[in-house]
Formats: sequence, C-alpha cells, structure tokens
Amino acid sequence: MSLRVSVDSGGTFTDGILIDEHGSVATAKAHTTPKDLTLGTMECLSRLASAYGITRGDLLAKTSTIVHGTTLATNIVATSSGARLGTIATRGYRDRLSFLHVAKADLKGDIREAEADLFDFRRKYPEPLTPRRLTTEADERLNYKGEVLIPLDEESVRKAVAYLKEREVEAIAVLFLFSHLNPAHELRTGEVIKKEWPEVHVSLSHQVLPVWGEVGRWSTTSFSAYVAPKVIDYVSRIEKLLQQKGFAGELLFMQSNGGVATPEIICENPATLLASGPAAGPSLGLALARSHGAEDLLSVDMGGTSFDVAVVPEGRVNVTQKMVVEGKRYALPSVDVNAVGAGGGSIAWLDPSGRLQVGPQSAGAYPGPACYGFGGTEPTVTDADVVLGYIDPDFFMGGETRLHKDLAERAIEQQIAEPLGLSLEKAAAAIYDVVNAKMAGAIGVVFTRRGYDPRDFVICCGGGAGAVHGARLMQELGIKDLLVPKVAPVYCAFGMMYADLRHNFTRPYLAESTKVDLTRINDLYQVMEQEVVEILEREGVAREDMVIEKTIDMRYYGQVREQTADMPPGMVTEETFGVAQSNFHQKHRTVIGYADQSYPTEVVRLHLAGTAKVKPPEPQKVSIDGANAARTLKGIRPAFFSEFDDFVDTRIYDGNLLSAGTSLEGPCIVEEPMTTVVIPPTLILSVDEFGNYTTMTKG
Amino acid sequence: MAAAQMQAPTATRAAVVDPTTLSVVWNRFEHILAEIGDKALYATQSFVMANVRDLGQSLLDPRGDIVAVAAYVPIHVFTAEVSVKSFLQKFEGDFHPGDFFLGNDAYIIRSGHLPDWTLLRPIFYEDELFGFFQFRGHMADTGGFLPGGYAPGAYDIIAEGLNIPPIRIIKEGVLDEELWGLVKRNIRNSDVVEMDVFNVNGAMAQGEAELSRLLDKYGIETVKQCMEEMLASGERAARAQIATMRDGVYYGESGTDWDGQTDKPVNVQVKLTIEGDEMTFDLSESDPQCSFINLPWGTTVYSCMEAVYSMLDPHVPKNSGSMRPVHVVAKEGTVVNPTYPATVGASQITISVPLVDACWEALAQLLPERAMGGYCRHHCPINIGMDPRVIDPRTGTVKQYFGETFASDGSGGAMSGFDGWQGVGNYRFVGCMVRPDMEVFETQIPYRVMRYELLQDWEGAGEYRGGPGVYLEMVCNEDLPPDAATLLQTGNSDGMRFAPKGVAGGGDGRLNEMWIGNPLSGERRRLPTMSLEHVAPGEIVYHWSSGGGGWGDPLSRALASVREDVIEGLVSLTRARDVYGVVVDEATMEVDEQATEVLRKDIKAKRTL
Repeated sequence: MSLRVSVDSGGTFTDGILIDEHGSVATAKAHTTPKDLTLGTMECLSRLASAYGITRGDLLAKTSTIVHGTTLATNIVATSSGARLGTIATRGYRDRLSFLHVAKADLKGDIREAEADLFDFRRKYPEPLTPRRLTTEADERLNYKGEVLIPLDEESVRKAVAYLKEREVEAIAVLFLFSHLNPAHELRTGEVIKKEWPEVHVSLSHQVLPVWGEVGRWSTTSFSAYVAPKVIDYVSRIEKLLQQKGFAGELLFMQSNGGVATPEIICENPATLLASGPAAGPSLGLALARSHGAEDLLSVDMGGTSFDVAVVPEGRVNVTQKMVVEGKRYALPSVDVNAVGAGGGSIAWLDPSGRLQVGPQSAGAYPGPACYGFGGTEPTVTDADVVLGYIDPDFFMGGETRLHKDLAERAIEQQIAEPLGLSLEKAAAAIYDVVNAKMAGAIGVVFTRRGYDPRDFVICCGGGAGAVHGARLMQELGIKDLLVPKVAPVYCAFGMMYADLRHNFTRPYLAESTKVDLTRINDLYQVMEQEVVEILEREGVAREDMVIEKTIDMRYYGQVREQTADMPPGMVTEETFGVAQSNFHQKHRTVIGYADQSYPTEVVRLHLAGTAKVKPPEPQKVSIDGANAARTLKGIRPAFFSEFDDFVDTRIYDGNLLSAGTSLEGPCIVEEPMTTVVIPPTLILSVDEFGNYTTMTKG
Repeated sequence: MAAAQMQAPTATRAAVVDPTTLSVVWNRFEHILAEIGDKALYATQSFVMANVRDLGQSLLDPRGDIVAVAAYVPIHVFTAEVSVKSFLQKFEGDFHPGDFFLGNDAYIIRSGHLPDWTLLRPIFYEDELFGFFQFRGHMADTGGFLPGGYAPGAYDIIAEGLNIPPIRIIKEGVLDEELWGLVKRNIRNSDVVEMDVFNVNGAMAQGEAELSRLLDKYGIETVKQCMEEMLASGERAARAQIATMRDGVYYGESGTDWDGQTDKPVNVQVKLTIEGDEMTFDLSESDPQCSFINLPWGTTVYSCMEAVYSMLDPHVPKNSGSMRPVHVVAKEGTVVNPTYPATVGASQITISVPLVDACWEALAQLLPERAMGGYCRHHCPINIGMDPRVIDPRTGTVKQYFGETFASDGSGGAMSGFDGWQGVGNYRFVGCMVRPDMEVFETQIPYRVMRYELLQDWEGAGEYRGGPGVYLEMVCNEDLPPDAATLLQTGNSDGMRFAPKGVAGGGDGRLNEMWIGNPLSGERRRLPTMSLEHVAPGEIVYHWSSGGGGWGDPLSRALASVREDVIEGLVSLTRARDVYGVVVDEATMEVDEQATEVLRKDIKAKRTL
C-alpha cells in the first residue's frame, strides 16, 4: 500500500497522477466519458497503471489513497442537465428565486461586466433552477425571531408533494423563511415528504446552509438538490466499482472548500462539489512556495479558455461564501478562486473607437485560435504567442498538435495590424501586452479588494499557458518571484494530493458586540466542533490530528456586508473576543481604506473549520550533475521581446534535461512537454532540486 | 446588428499614443474606479446604496472632463459632467494633496436631488494635479423635515434638506472639524453618513496610490496623452454613429403622475434634431416647474445621454468626449430646468425617467431595431419611522429607520430578439437593483412581507414580450406600539397614470396600483404616488406593478414561447388566444397550430378594417 493517486475528471479530459514511495511520478490522460463517467475514470486508472508499468488491478491493490476531483456538478449546472427540480416554499414566496438576485454587472462572478455592457440588456435572463410550474407552497410562517406565526399545515405539504409527484420531479428543495433560526417546520416537512414519497431526494435549506438571508440559503439549497441525484449516483457507483476491482484504500473527493471528504459525506450535501474544479491548485502552489521560503502566494492557472487566480496570504487558502454560479448565488464556503476571463483563447478585437481589446469573448476549444486550423479566423492570445515566437508551432502540447503559424499571422494581420497601421509583429506584441495588462489589472483588484499588496507575494503559474505570460505578470504587478511547477499542466490534479480533509460549518448569531452572550457563542462553536469531530472521526482521523480554526463575521453596526475576522483558539473569553474585534477593525482598514475603533460593531455569524492534515507527497529530486546547460539546448529561434522592440535570436532549452541548480539568462525559452516558460531579457531562470523553475532579476 | 452600423475604426488617423499603452491605461483606470465603487458598496450603511447600488464614480481630468467610468449606476457617474465644474469654479488653483470635497446643492452643483452627495478628491502626482476621483451616492440622510431626502409637500428647497455648496471638509489630510460638525449636526444618523463619507475618502486614497504606480511606469505625459485620446476617441465614435442617422426632427413625450400638490400629470416634451454628426434635444416645451419633481440640470443632461447611450453601439466609449456631439437645451423655469428655490426631491426618478422615455420615443423612430419596450416606472414605497422599542447603538437614541423592500418594482421592456428582464425595476438602475433578503428586511423594518410574486397577464405583449408584473403584500407588525411614527412614503413612486409603452408594434404594460387595507374595519384606501401615509399596526399594504412594454407584433410571437408562458402561468389561456392569437388546449397544454393560424389571420384582418 504505497501508491497515491489523484484523478481529476474535467469537461474534456480526465488527468491522472500517481506518486510512489520513492517520489517517482507517472501521469496519464483519458477522455472524459459524460454518458457514464466511471468509464473515463477507470480508463484513466488503466493508463496510469500502464504508464507505471503494472496492471490496473495491481495499481488498485497497491494504492492507499485516491483523491478524486470531478467537475460533474459544475457541468450539470453549466449544461442545465440536473434533476427535474421541484420546490416547496413558504406561502407567498414561490417566485423568490425567479427574481434577479445577483446584480447584472456581477452575473459572471469575478468577470465584471464591462463599461460597454452597462446599458445593454440584449442577452438571456438567468433562469432559476426550478421552473415556475414546479414551484409549490406550504402554509407556515415564522417571524424574524424564529417564533411561529402560522403553524405548519401538513395537509398543504401533502398537496404540494402530490402535485410534484404527478409531475415526476426527481428532487425537492424545501425553502422556508427563518428556518435557520427554527428548523422545526422544515424538518417536519422533510418527514412528511419521506412518508408520502420515500424515493425522492429532499434538501432542507437549514441543513444545506444555516445562514441568515433566504436568497443565499435557498439558492445554495436549490443547487444541492439539483445536482444531487446524478452526483450521488456517480459517487456511489465509482466507490463500488473501485472496491470490486480490488481497491481497499481510501477514496476522497475534492470539495469546493479546498479540502477533501469521503463519499458518504459528499452524498449528504452534493453541492460541496460545485466549485471544486479549480480548488486544488492553490494547495500545490502553496507547497511549492513554502519550499522556496515564501508564505504569500498568488496562484495562477491559465488554460486554453480559463484563467483562475487565487490569492493565498500567510500560507492560508482563503474561503469565500460569495460565489456566483451561472448567475446565481452559491454560498457554501469555497476556495477564493477568481475566474478572470482571459486565456489562450481570448479574442483580440478593435472596438468602434479603434481601441484594441482582448477578451472577454473566447474562441473556446473549437474552433479555437486561428492557428489550430479548425476554421477560426479571429486572432487570439495563442495566435499572438505563436507569431511572437514564444510557442513553437511544431511543439505545442509536446508536439501532439501542430499549429498553423500562417493562419495566426493572417488573422492578426487582417483584423488588427492593418486597421491600426501596425506591422504584424507590433500588432502581436500589442495583443500580448494588452492581455498581460488586463490580467494584471484584474489580479490587482483581487489583491487590493482583499487588502493585500502584490509586492509581498510570489506568483506560481500552472496550466498549459501560464508560464508564457507568468514573467510579464510578475513584472506588471511588481511581484517578488516567479515559480513554475514541473507539473504545471496538471496543476490541479497534482494539487489534490496536497489537499487536507477539511469541513466548514457556520451558524448565525446576530448581536451587538457590547451585548454578546459569550456562553451562547461558546455553545455554538462547541456544537460545530462536535459536528466536525464526528465527521472527521467517521473519516478515520484521530482526535489529536484534527486542527480546529474559528473565525467570526463582524461588521460596523448598520452595515449590510461583513468582514471575516480570526478568533483566537480555545474558549471565547472577554479578552479573545476583544482580539477578534481588533482583527475586524484592522481588516476593515486594509480592505476598505478606513476604520473607526470607537464605532459600534456587531456579530453576524460564526464559522468553524476542522482540518486533518494529509501527509504531502514527496516528489523525486532531479539530478544535480552540474552538466552544462549547452547540452540541453534544443535550438535557437527568433522571439519578440519588448525590451529590444524586436525579434532576437533566443535559446530554446529542453526542460526535461535540465538539472537542478542550472541557471539560464534571459531572454530564453524552456519547453516542457505540455508547457512553455518564457523568460524576458531582464531575468535569470533557475531550476530547483525538484525541477521546478524560479526566477531572479539580473544585476 | 449594431456592429453592422459601425464605421471602420478610425484610430489610425488621430492616435498620438501607441494603442497598447492606451488600452493598458484605460483598463487600469476602469479597474481602479471599479474598486473604489466596490469598497464603498461593500462598506456602506445607507440602505439604498447597499441594496440598489445607488452610487457611481468617475475619473476626471483637471478641466473637469469625464475621462473614464466604471460599471455602476450611471446617473451618478455622468452627472459629474455638470457637477464637478462648480467645484473647479470655486477652488481652481487651490487644490492640495489629501484634500477632500463634498456638496449637494441643487442650484450650485446642479447634479440632482439633495441626498445624492457628490464627493471629490483631487489626485496628485509629484505635486502636480493629475485629475479627480468623483463619487456620488445616496446618503443615509440629508436633513430636511423628513428622513432620507424625499419630502413631499416641502415648502421650498431649504425645507427639503440641508443645502451644501462645494465645501472642503478635509484639507491636506486634516478634517475641518467645525465645518463638518455643522453639517453633521443637521442630518439624522450622522455617524452613519460620516462613516460612509470617510470610507469613500479612504478608498479613493488607495486608488490614488495605485494610480501613482501606473504613472511611475508610463510617465505622466504619456498618461495625459492617453486621456486626451480617450476623450477624442469617444467623440469620434459618437459622431460616426450619429452621422449614420437620418437628418431631421423627431418628437417624443411622456410624463409623470403628478407633483404631489396639484392633481394633474406633469409632461416632458422632446424635440430631437439630427444634423450631420450632431444631435440636439430641445426640451423647452416641457411643463413649467412645479414642486417635488423638478430636475436639476446635471440629471437633465444625463437623462438624454442615458437614452443615447442605450441606443448606440454599446462599445462607444462613455465619457465627456462622446457627450460633446449631443446638445441639450431647455427653457429656464421648466420642470427640466428649474429655478431656485423649487424643490427637487423625487426628480431623480419621477421626472428623469419619463424624460428618458420621451427621448427613447424620439430615437426609436430612427433606430427601431435598437428600441426597447418601456420599463415599469419605479413603484415601491419607502418605510420610514422610529421604533421606540430599540435604542440605536450608533446614536444612543431611539432607532430611526429608512428602507424599502425594492420588491414591488416591476419588470423591464422587450428588445428585438429578447424578452424583457423580469423584476429588474426601472431602467435607471440598469439591472443593478438587488432585491434585499426579506429575512434581513423584516429584521430591520417592522413589517412582514406576506406575498412576493410575479403577476399573470401584466406584461406588454409582443413578438418579444415585456417582463411580467410583480405583486407584493406586506403587513405592519401588530406588536408595534400604536403611537410609533410609522410612515409609508410613496416618495418617488410613479406609473399610476403612465404605463410602460410598447414599441415596433408591441403592447403597453399596465398601470401600477397601491392600496392600504385595514383588516379590522375592512376599510381600504388607495395610495397615490408622491405622498405620505401613516400606517397603523396590523394594516396591510398591497402593490401591483406593471410588466415591461413589448417589442413587435404579438401575433408574430413564436408559438413555443407563448405555450411556455402559459405553462409557466405568466400568460393566461384567454390572453394567449385574444392577444397572441394562439390556441392552447387546456388539458394537454399543446398548441392547436391550425386553429392558431386561422385565428391569427382573423385578428389581422379585423385590425385593418
């Protein structure tokens, strides 16, 4: 039992990675099989076994842990292929989630609406998950203290269930007002449904997320019920299948909060998978940053169409409850990853005033950039990267795909260079510079909105396209150092091996800070702690290996939005509560730009996270034979660098042959099988003992 | 569609800075502005700023021209065109690093009504004045004889609220305690307003630091050239679009229910002249000024621009450059160009929105494909009052609240190719209105919202239909002491006389309605707009708000869309048949295509008779 495996099942490909007790790594890739996801997952494991030189049966028998990431839930939502969903709401509220509850400017989450779209409504209204015809109501009502104003009429629940049963819904979300304060009506409704119709899946809003504010709670609950049948089906089938094929180790799933959980826990709240796709990258970035003595990290994962960034300050992967998924609130704690809407596929275009713009439209995977030769005619960032000599058209994806440089040139020439009166290369350089500036600007907002200064950070670039742009992003943002992991193309899959078992809990507690009841606060924390301990114990963790972290949401009295402040460990006392309060003021000052220590504050909710550290994998070191770099030189080709305002002959190195301790002066390019590292003239690149790359400024 | 109307880019001729730098600097400006807005929004205690983003910010050059803007509520962004000039007039040559200014005077700053304060911070780079950050937002209070800034029946502008000319409250980083103390003493919940103002200053200071990093990198001269080019390219793009429009004179009109005093509608008239690459909106035939709804000049200019920007290609840069070829004229003493001391409280919605509707009507004759069905007029009473049972820790005195559900606002108008957006309120908020959680509302305001739903058959019909109507019902909590000041102010609500209009053959929406009912006596009273009512514990407030106007002939609406609306309960079987000419079988919910074809022909034939 010595192998550790991670399998990351994305929309198109399923990536697998294996690491053995010596730190040897094998990777594999298989097509994702949407009709029956277990096929693609098992195929990936077969390929992983053969890459390692054993049978799949042997691999499964020898594996102690499989960490499984899946975009299943995300894709269900993106393709509207979830359960036929019915809801039972408090009487009078069946339409609540049909009203826009995310501002139009924020519908795409962190991809902020552009000034150009300000006055424009020419697009489809974001539909709720439950069609109006499947919304029903029950007679019941609580007030804002959780007191019963109208007792639950069970007959109205039975009527609603009969109506939904007749219409063959597959899941029911129960959405009652103030159920987070008093769950009795929701619980009883759950029992009535189970009795009337035992087969249907039921999600109760106070169980999915007990927070104040019906929109976030109900919207998240609807997501949970919507993805539940398919997620539960897949999770239980793959678990059984792996056992049948000889796997006796532990299967863990990647969650939105950046931690992992067992299949049983996932099935209790399937919505925890929803934002898990990019959640693992930051863990790997952090491990890498730590090996270079840094605790403040910017994690960047740039693929063909997406660009995910996460700020990881002080060695801590931040979670947020303010995610927007397909135009709807998703309020479960999720790793604070921002999709910035730029990537290799982002299209360059001129607006009516002649301003060069890049994105947010993307050519996607198909037809993709012009240079793919699939018929795309719009110039993209990848096209510019090819024209500038950064990407070798014959060595894209390790030579698996040949790119057409002539098509890239034609697209840029016709759409950008000619109208602007620029030469081809200047136009390509402009696209490259504009997208870098745009990404840097967006990243800058991610930093400053959270109150951090990029100059204290290192940047870790994963994904196929990250390292083509990483050095420029670093310079643009004034970031200290660039790190490129050897495993950049499988950034998230590898990151999963670093993910800890992690569970987040939250409780509403609304009180002015001068009137807080510390006993009540301690009780609430204790209840959450018991819950987390119970879950971790079910997952086989010993009490002494659990780490409990407490935070508290506070705001100035009268504010609508709050800041999360750290609560010192142990029992909450007058003193530690005071510490939390000054943490709040400090955070408000850095994030907003102002604070007032004498202003009354109030508590809004309490959070508790329980973590069990997973032993990180130990990758193999690369050789330190001090061989001279010349041996690894693949060739020389012209590449454009703005410092020379021209193409210069640039040395191209084979990343697989570079040994630890090697230093290479920019300008140069290192080609790895699935990624390319571009080093501008002012930087020196070095290779660390694990084959990862780092830079320093010359002189 | 819109792009096809665009002329080829013309940047080559006039570009003095390289396009890369221009694009980088422009993006950066927008990011920095957006961030100031995000911080102000995140931290604000003002109910309307927090919930409908009633705020906006812009970057201006030292001459007071708007250079760059961010996607926030645009009225607050573009009134800077008029308002900032008054600060320049008073303080030109006397700006210092760390200064911070504010004002709201409807006749000096002329941006709009009193609760929308303009905040201004000069931006310095190495001791040189680089430009200004401007912020405008709806403060939690602004004094006057009623809270929140809406005071129907106010005798004059002095009674309506505190009139603040351009003043400097922070000089080189030091607060002018005496001046600020005077302002604070004359507004309610003054600590709330103070923290909101200081948060904006703090956010702007952080923005200034970020801007100086940009200036370090590119040099101030280059960035200044970029700013010139932003204005020039805005002007070029707007002129190119206007040049494609047919020269001529076009008319539009609309109105608002009344002014809260004299029971008759108040009308605005638009005469639009297109001549070459310029356009002029002449509003001189609009009604004379009255009370409560008079529109200060900055918002009059903006209202015309809102109509223009929403009709042009969305990618025309929005700044003072693209405002240059658009002229607005109005006679002094009219409701769109009032004179001191006329009151202005409701004007930001209740004459401004009709003015936009009138401009749309004129523009729709030029650009029918770009025209939109009318939006539901703002229709949501404001809850104000005191809760004697609660002591506010900020003031140490009885709690004074000001809020609204924003839940009874109606829906948006249809566009060619798209149905109207449901429940987004009037167009003024451009989709930024976020309906607050009722669980939060009920915690802060002594009411319970009992029904909150979409209305059947309230949409403006069309090939593309307006969004549906909205119904809301709320009860004043029975346990409230009967002597508590519990007021319902219909303030800037409108639309009980003017329904959202359909365009290009689309149908109109319906008229809004508000009632208060007393369940004990069974008595019901109709609640007019722009008024103030006392609500007793246990009384129930009812609202019906219209859907948006339709676009195109309802008889051309796709059968599947009509069927879907019927199944969803938004359109009744009767209306499907009578208005859309679609026969849906009640039992199977299937469309009878043959019967539909006959019926549609029949309706068309009757129309031509």
